[in-house]
Amino acid sequence: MTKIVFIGDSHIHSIKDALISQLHDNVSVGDVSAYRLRKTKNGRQIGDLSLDDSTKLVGRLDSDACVVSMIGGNQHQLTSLIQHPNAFDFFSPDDSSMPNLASEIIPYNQMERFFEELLKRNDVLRMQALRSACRGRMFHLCPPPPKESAEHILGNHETDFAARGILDKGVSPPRLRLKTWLTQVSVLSKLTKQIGVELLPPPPTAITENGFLAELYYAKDATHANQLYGQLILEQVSNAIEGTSNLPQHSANL
Amino acid sequence: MTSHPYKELPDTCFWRRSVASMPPENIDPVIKFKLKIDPSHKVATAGSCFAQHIARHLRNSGFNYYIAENGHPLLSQDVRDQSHYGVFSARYGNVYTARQLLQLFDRAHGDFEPSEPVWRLPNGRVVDPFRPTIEPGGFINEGELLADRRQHLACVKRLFSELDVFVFTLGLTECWRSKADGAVFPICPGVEGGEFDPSRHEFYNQTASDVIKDFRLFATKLREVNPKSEIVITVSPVPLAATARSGMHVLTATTYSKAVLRVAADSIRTKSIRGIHYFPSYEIVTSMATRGRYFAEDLRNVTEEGVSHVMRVFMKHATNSKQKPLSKPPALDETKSDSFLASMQHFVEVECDEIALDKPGSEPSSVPYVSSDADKVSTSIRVRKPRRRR
Repeated sequence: MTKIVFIGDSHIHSIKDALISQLHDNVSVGDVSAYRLRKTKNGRQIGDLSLDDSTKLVGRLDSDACVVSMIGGNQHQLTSLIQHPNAFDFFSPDDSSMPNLASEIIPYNQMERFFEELLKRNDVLRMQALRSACRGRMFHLCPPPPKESAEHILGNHETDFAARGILDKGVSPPRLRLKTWLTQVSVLSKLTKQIGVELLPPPPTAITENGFLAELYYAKDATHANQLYGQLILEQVSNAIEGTSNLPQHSANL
Repeated sequence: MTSHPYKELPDTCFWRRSVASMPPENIDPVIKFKLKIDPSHKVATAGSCFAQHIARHLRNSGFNYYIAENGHPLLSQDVRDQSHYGVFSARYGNVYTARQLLQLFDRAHGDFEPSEPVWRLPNGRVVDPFRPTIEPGGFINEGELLADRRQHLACVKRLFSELDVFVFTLGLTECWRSKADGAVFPICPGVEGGEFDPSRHEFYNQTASDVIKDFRLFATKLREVNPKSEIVITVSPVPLAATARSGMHVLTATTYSKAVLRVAADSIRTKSIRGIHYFPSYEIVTSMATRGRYFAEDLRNVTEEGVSHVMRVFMKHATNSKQKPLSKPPALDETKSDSFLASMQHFVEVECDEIALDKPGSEPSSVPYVSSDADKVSTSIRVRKPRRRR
């Protein structure tokens, strides 16, 4: 049985919640563990392991074990969730719709370089540290796509977004948020390939026909997905590793 | 001893006294410069490659360097730098000729809309024929290019109406233009995108009277939208990277071109168009007193030492600050030469469109100037759109 270790930031809670729920349901959950990287938020320390400790843990794994990164992922939300005071939009090779020409149009090249800079600054460095220690396969999960519903976002946003003035400034148009996410994913695809990490897209069943996160998979905040999404991820990772559609025999190691 | 007119002339009229016997770095050919710039004045720049040095020094010298087009604030300065925001006061790239400047003004004010279509790159991306290297890798489609051009021209229009001082460096007389409407390109079609088509594109070498006429018209139009504006003209000391005149040596072509521009720069000023000032950066850099040391290894680019000399003289005469004697710039630290060379190389490769005319490995073909495709292709990475829920 392949040992699977998830390591990441806030998005990892969908996995943790999925594993906990399976334990509650008396489902045997085999050799899967999930760790949130430690950090200080609002003056208190959160998370399970430092990056150093995570790297050591990964270094002790056998070569048939698999590491799944859920590091970072919310750069697109910080970029476009809240309406920017200088409204912007952009053309995207992934979206044929016409941008809002009343906004300032940012050339796509610049959006790509913007995300490349953001991702290289922290997330890619951390992924690289894990990749260097990992003897087996390593995946990185795309962050979940944005939520289309502005109503949900305004009613359930995180404190960070409140501090940034989401209620005064409003939520950006869904199409812009989706294009921004697609740009981040496109850049991630290039960067993860460069460091030998396999990029996994979001589970297709969790995505609406317009490309957004389906409401069934919303966590009660503006940006994250829930435990049902985590279950889809477990299934997806299992498929990617073993080529089967069944969940592996998991054991929680939370 | 008889008296004669030379007896009464100041030292600056004599070569031995003010050139041959002077330390080269102290040569100051400015006799009178009426314009005085103070920190509140919005100073804008445009022109050829050399104008970028002037812009850079103005930015770093306490001037109110006016940038009307600076990129979206979301983007870091690094990202904006890579897309050439701030190199000049708006993102027009190199403006080599007076005709190009005049047409830029007209396009910004809706008085001229060239018929030239966008230029396509082999990878499907497109570039703007009037600033072909402004967006590295090209725009992803025509819609994006046109939207960016519309924003750009709005910024140019605002720039011209709000600037106080406009510093323009005349760079070339040789240009390529559209046969359809005379639209002038900064670089020959086919070099940085598009295709050269002899039925649509033609070479033209501007005469002194062309340059004078174009620049006077530009100055007149500028005054119409901005009566208080002042203009500083300089001539770029950077030689031609290539001439399109097959029967002429590039050295001879350079001499012709610079002579035309220098004559024009003097003749542009008339009583009817006030507020045009010539600044002799060309003379400072090309003076034989420096024995060529203000030119880099390639004998084209101007060294930092040369630019500093130009700017010291400029600061001395064009500002209201207390005049300081010209001082020798600090010697170049040899241990930093790599970074210096690297920055120069970056400057040449990224900013100077004209250098593309003679990229290593480029070969002649039916197109007057063609660079290898490998030089201009930027791979676009696309990610598959996630499958949709059925």
